[in-house]
Amino acid sequence: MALIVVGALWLIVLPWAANRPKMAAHLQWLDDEGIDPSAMYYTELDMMEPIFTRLALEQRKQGDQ
Amino acid sequence: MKQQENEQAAEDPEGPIEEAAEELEAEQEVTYEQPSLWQEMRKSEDWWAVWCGAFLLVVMFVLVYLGRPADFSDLIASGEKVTVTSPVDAYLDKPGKWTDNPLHSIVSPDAKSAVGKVPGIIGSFVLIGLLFAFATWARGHSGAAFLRAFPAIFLLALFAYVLSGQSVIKAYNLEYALWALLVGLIISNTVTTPHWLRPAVQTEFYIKTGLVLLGAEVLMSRLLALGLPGIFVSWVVTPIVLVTTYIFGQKVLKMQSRSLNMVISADMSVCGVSAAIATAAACKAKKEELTLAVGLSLSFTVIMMVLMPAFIKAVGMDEIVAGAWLGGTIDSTGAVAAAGAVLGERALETAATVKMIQNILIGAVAFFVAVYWVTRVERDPNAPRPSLMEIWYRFPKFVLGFILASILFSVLYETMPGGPELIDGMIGGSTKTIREWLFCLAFVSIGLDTNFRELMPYLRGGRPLVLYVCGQALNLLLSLLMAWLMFGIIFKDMVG
Repeated sequence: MALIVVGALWLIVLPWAANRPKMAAHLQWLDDEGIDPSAMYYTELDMMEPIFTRLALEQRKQGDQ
Repeated sequence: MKQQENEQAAEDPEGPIEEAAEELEAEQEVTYEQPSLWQEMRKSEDWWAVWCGAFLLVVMFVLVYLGRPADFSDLIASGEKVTVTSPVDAYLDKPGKWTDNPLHSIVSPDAKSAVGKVPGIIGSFVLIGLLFAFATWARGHSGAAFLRAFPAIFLLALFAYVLSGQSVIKAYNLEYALWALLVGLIISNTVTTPHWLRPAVQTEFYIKTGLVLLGAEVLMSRLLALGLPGIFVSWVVTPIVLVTTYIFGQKVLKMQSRSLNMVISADMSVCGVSAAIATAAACKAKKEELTLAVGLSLSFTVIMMVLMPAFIKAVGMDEIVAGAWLGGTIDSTGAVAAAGAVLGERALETAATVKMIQNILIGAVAFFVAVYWVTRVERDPNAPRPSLMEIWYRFPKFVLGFILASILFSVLYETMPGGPELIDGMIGGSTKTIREWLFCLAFVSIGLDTNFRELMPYLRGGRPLVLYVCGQALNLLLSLLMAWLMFGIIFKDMVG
C-alpha cells in the first residue's frame, strides 16, 4: 500500500506538478541561480562559489595594500 | 521488607550509615574500574568515529594534493584562478536531481558519460561498507554480519536520495533526512525491521563519523566574510536565542527531556538539521528526539521560506537588512538562499553569507553542549563537582575529532599555499559526498529503529511545538533588531 502511494506521488503527481508552467518557471529560476533549497550546509550550495571568489579577491587586495 | 529494614535501623542506628558508606566505597571502586584510555581508543564507538573520519580526511587530502596540476604553485603565485579536482571525484557520488523520470537521478540525459553516477554510487557503497565493516570488526563485533546487512541499508538510503531528488521536493527544502527517516519508519512499523539488518543499523556511528568529516567544512576564516555585522547577527543573537529558549523550555514549559529541549533550541536557533544532528550527538539525545526536532525544523522552514520574503516585500524592507534577517532566522541553509533570491542579488548574498557564518557556529555549539552535559546535566546533584578525569571520561570524544578537523583544515586553508583550492577540491570532490551518505544512512537507521508509538509521548501536550514557536518568535525579533542595527544603521556605509 505504502509503495503504491509513493509510486503514485513520485511518478505521477510530482512530475505533473513540476511541469505546470508556474512551477516549471520557478524550478528553472532556481537552476539558473545555482540554488538548491534542500542544501543542509553551505558547502552544498553552488551559488556560494562566486561569493568565495569575490571574498578571496578582496582578501588578496587587502594583503597587497 | 521495607518494615524489616526500618526495624533493623532502629535497633542499630549506625548500621545503615556504615552500609551506605560501604556502598559509596563500592560505587567509587566501580567508578575507577573504567577502561583504560588505550582500551577505549581501541573499542569505543566515539574513538572509531574519530579514526574513520581522520582516515578519510587524510587519504582524501593526500589524493587531492598528489593530483594537483604540475604548475599549481606557479598558478597560485601568479594569482590565477585554479580549480583543483579530486582524483576520486567520479568514484564518489550520490543521486542527483530529476523531474519526470527517477532514473535520471542516476543517469542524467545530459550526462557526459553513459553510466552517469553509477560508478560514484558503487564507489561510495564500497568505501563506506568496507571501512565500517573493518571498524565494526575492530570493535569486537562481526564484520561479516555488517557486510551482509549493509547493502540493504545502503539501498534504502539510495531510495531515500532518489525520493528527495525530485525537483518539486527539492524546491520546498524537503531534505533527504526526512525521506530517509520515512523509508525506515515505514519498514519498521509495517513489516518490522528484519533481525539480519540490525548489524548495519548503526545510527550513532554513522552520525559521529559524518560529524568528524563535517569538521573539515567548518572553516573559521569564513567567519569574517561579512566583518563585524555578520558576527553580530550570527554569533551574538544565535547563542542568546539558543540559551534563552533552552531556559524557557526548562523553567516555563517544564520540558521532561533536557536533551529534546536542547536539540530543538539548537536546530531552531543555529541552522536546522545539521545543527540538530551535531547537538543531538553531543548531548546523547534519543533517536526519537532527533526525529521530532528534524520534523519541526523542516516543517517551519517550508513555511518561513515562503512567508518571510512575501512579508519583506509587503513592508518594503531594505534588501540587505532583509537578507541578514532571513539568514539569521530560517533554519535550513538552502531555504535561506531560495528565500533571499526572491528579494534580489544583494539580499541573496547577504542571507547566504550570514547563514554560512551561522553554519560555522555548529562546532562551538557542539563543544559547549557536550561540556555542559558532562559537567552539569549528567552530574549527580548530590555528588561533589566531577573531577577533570571524570569529565574527560564522559566527554563524547568524537566532538574532539570534529573540533580538531575544523582547526586543522582552517589553519591549512589560511596558511598553506593554495590551501583554499586544495581544501575546496577535497570537500567538493569527496568528503562532502561521504558525509552526506553517512547522514542519510543514519536517518534510515533511526527510522528502522523507531516505533511510531515511541514518538507519541513526545508529542503529548504539544510542548515541543510551543518551544519551537516561542523560540523562533524571539529569534525573529532579535535577529531583525540586530540586522537593522548592524546592516541598516551602524555599518550601513561599509556593507552598502
